[in-house]
Amino acid sequence: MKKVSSLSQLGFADDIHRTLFRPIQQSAAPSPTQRRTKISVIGAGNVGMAIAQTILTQDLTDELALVDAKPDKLQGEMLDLQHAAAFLPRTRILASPDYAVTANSDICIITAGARQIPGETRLNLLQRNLALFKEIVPPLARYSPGTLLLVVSNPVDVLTYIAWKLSGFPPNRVIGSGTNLDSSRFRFLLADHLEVNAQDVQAYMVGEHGDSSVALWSSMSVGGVPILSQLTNDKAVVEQGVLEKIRKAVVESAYEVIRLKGYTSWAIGYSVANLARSLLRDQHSIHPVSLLAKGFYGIPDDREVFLSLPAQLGRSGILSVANIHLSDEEAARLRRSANTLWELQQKLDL
Amino acid sequence: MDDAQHVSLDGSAEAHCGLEVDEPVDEGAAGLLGWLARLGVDEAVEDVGAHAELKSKRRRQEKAWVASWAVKLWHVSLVESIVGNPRELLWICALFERHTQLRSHGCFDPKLTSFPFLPIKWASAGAKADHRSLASIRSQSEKMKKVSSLAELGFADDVHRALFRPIQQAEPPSPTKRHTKISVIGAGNVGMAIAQTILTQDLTDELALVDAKPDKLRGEMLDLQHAAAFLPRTRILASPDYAVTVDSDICIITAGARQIPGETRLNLLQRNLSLFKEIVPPLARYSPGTLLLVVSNPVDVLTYIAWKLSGFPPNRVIGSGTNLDSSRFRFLLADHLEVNAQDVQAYMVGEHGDSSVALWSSISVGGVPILSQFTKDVAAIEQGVLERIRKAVVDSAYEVIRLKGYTSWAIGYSVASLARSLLRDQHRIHPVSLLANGFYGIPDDRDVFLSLPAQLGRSGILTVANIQLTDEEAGRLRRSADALWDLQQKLDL
Repeated sequence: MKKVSSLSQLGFADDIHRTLFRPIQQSAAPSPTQRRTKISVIGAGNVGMAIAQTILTQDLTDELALVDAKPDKLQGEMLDLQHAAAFLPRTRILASPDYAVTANSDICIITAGARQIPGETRLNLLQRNLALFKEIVPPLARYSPGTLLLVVSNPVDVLTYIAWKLSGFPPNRVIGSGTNLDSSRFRFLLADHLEVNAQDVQAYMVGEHGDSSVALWSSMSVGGVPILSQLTNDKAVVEQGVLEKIRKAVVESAYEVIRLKGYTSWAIGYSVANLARSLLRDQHSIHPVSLLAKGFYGIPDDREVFLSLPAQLGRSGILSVANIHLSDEEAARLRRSANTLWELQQKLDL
Repeated sequence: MDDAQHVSLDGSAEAHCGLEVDEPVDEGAAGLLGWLARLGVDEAVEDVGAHAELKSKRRRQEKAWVASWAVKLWHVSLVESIVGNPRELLWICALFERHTQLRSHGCFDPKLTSFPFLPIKWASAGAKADHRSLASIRSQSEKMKKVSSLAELGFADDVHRALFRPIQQAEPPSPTKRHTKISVIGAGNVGMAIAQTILTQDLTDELALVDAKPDKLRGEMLDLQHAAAFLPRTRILASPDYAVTVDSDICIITAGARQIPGETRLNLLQRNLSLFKEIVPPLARYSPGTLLLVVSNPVDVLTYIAWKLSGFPPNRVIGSGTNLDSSRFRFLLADHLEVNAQDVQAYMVGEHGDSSVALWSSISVGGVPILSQFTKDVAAIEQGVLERIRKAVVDSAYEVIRLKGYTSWAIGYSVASLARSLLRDQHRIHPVSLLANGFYGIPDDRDVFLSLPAQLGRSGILTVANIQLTDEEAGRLRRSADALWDLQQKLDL
């Protein structure tokens, strides 16, 4: 990995550094156990770069590596980040189409994925992404055998399952961004309507990140106060299926942004940086993320399916899954979500 | 007000606004009545003396606040009793619009969709203009609807009041309460990188975005708002109408025509001049005390143009200039010397472009001037190494554009850094584009903008640093000034 600076090529003497700065006598060499945190982002598109830039701005890591198949685009993005050196803490930024650049990462974030061709079936899209993941996941696992894999590419639940199978990692180290962002959108809608800070609104969307997601209305609370009863005091709300309309609005808000600006980037950037912080800094905070859900909430033990549940995240990945009380309806929806995903997985040529 | 023709804000006459006038039943109204009594609204007091104007202004502000709460609580009769005449009601509406939740959502609160009648019988054109602007605000805001669609989906509007109640006898918010606001004009790659960095760094209470393309604009706004759970609560507004920028502390202009292949620089400038004629006057009108920060290229001449079009004093019109070039310069040096870039003090000044000037003689690292170390190697100087490095810095922007199509992240951080120094009155020194006559031998009678190291604070450019230049550096700077002056002369301003 060539030294970034081209000053040597321009004729600057290489040993200037030694004339300007000298170490004290008998200094010990840097300790081999000295660790630097490192995050790798696979895919330098809109989503990958928004994630990388947010991680950089929030000063989450000592080293950031970018990987993409397009070397020019990759080099351009790397330079654009490096040029901000005067405005940021010193973070080492590397980029290469070669996965060797990801060696020793604490977290590997996968954003690369085939885009849906109009008219393409979901299964077909999945098969194409499976082929792509077969090129991405094994080298990542090889260069960073102890890393945490964080999958963002869609459809995220099945792709996280695929990443798990291809990596051979224990399931606590393979996580999908899942409904972390859906929940943020859900909380945003509620918070804006109730005129409170979104961080005071506790509201989870779980299950599939997609059409069959489940809004956990019964456990929603604002400032610690459960509010479903207040909302459903109004009969009209119940009769007109208002709650379901809101869930759909959340699911569709991603499509709305794509329709308006062509893609989404900022929100997913903040969402994933937030997960990265909880993982890297061992925060033990609870996030709805896509994980191996068998045995939880009535999902059969023999069905290896990934979907989002509220989970406690820390340095070793998924520490535990929260045991939230679900209404019968919510539990049933969750199981239906699991069935849908299971059937899809069965058809894959893994 | 008998003769006044009552119209709703969208200009159509109504027989009556259709409001219900309820008995005050909650604590808010009781507090309101208390305020009214304190203001002595029923009296017509003539204040004389030196502070009369100030007092009357303050009184009007207080009345406006009371009126705003009255409107909020649908107490029409209260509104009528507060305002003395149509002009005053109009003024109060403008103030209301600026300071209440209407502004916070970039549109009118759905609770107020049938705003009480607005008398139109007034004498001056000035008042008419205000009315039009209010009407256009409302019509724009109908399109940029309240973000939360929960009301449309059937959620009761007053859930909030059922869940949260103010304490008794609470006072309305003070009219002098300040709230920082930054507006970004242009929601392209550069504008959005700047907006997002400002948001992540929690620099402002309110962020407004303006662009000519409403769909793209709305998409970008939603994308930022959806991150609400991960950010401090910042109000994010967006509209193609410049009214959304009202009362900004800083207005950042990133909009600009892109160079058509083969187009002359002068022609590109003329096109950008037309664009700035649409952008700068409304910004200046809606935020007469704002700091203008120009990012669009060619930044030096466009900052000059913005200064001319705004009528602002020159300390309040700043171009991003060579702030980023200097960062690239420092990055190259720091990486080679294996030090933190923030410990490398190195300025590029002059034109942001081909004739920029690298101030080699004043580079220092950790406080140590280092040019002498470099020039020990005579061969380096002879081969024009220093000039090649300067060119590499100038070219690095083109390199990024060639590789990824545009630049965004670095300029985002650069401008956010300037915004922080300005808004938080940091008194830090940044090389930015400013009115340079009288400095470093640039003639007093030549109004030209170029980058010099300047101290930035809340009132914009506080001072220009007096750095010792070599003869060569001073010569290059003057040549940079000449080139810019010649270009400006050809403009059809």
